[in-house]
Amino acid sequence: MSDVAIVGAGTTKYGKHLDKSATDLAQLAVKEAIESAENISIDDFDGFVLSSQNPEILQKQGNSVNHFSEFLGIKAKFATRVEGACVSGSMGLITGYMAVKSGLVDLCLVVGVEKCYELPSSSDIMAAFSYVIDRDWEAAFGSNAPMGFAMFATRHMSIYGTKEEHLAMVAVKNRKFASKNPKAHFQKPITIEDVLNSRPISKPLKLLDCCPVSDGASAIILTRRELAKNYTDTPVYIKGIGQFLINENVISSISDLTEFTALKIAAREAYKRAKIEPKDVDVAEVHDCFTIAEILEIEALGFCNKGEGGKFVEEGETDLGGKIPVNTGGGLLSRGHPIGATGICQAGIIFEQLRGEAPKGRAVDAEIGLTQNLGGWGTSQAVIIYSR
Amino acid sequence: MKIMEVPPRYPNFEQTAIKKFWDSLKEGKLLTTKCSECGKTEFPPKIVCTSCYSDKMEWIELPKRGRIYSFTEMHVVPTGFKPPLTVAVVELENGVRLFSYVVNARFEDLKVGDVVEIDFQEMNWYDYKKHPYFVFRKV
Repeated sequence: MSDVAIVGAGTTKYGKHLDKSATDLAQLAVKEAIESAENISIDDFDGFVLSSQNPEILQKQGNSVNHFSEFLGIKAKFATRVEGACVSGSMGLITGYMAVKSGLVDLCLVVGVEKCYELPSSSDIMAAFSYVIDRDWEAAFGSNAPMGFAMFATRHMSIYGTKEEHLAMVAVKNRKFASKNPKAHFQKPITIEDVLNSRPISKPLKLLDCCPVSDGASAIILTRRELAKNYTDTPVYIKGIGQFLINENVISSISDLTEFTALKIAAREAYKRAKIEPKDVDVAEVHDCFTIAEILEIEALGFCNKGEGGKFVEEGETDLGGKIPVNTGGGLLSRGHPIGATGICQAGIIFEQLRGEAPKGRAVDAEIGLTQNLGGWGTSQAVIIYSR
Repeated sequence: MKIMEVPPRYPNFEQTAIKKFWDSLKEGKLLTTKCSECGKTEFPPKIVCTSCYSDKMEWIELPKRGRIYSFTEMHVVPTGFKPPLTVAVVELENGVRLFSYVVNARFEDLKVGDVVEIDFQEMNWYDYKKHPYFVFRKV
């Protein structure tokens, strides 16, 4: 059994928040997290981890851990900001987990936030996001996130016969779940034809194969196992973590563009620490920044064989009633992707599932849940396993 | 005055210890580094080997032909670029992989395994910085 428990979670709606700042969003997420637990006030926290990918460019604001502490009213023995592109959220959770597990702090607030729509145009937002990409060898030539994942899609389709329809099925399923999630960025159901007919972004990926740019914040409260019952009758325990970073940051350096090699290693580590196997996972939130990513992830996590992800989705195995329901919160594709917040939101969705609080239409009777979050071209990976 | 909301980016071809790579592009040569101790060839070029950590690196010229390993065509690009842009990861005859534009083909004209040749083109970043770079041409 684990030493670290989640006792509270909160999130803002994800979307375009033209009437709120980054600190407004963080305040709202933290307020909801505190209110989801019992007997917690802001003064009780002695640890604070902030996950935010790019406030320096998006808000022209550095020193973000100090900056946010002002608005959150937090004083802490241990405080840090973590950043690793899109995996920032899970890096924050793992940092908070280590702070609690080491005994450094008793009650740790982990907050993820990104506010993107302060920039005037979508091409400016894309330019800001391109800051995560290697400047000299990729970004200087116009590279952006869809480019790299499209490279995986082209290669996976060429080697394994994965079809554009398989990718579309991922988007349709996740939108169906998002239609039951009032906090999702997009909630209106879509069809396979909608995805196939949407405009090209980076071929073969189309608009509805891509997650949106979102504003939003999410928060998680971590504590030691022995203290958990002070704050809730139904804590959720972190059963195992696995992280892996591989030195293949430039797209041309990736040894195999048909798989997430780093995820296979991170997953193996997480399963070993949690003493479970892939078949024991009842519900999973994975990093579907693009439809192809979810297919590569269910393969690397061992839910299906390599190359068979498309077929697995087509057979309904990742839907309710299938072998492993995936992205019951709507995924990044529909829930949205405020970069630093995503991994923390994923944990919140598993927290809700394991406490039996997920609404009808996306509820899974689950004892073990998993989140998977990635940064870069899938070369920085984090897996967290949770239990009731 | 036009304010750039997001500072533009162009390669660092000036303050770098691999300046020889950039200078050679001006002569139509594509170089990278090979470790004299363990023999590892890698791209991007480096001044210390990432395998054995030797600093005894030599410059080698890369083959001028390769095959498409994967590719895409970008239709949405950051400020400062004009879509569509066809780009590919190409595996050269010696196994080194490179990323750049495919200048004479669209997505529909390409498949994995197609043979390409290296060519050179002047790049222009925001009418502010210029430098030649390597590109791919489908044979």
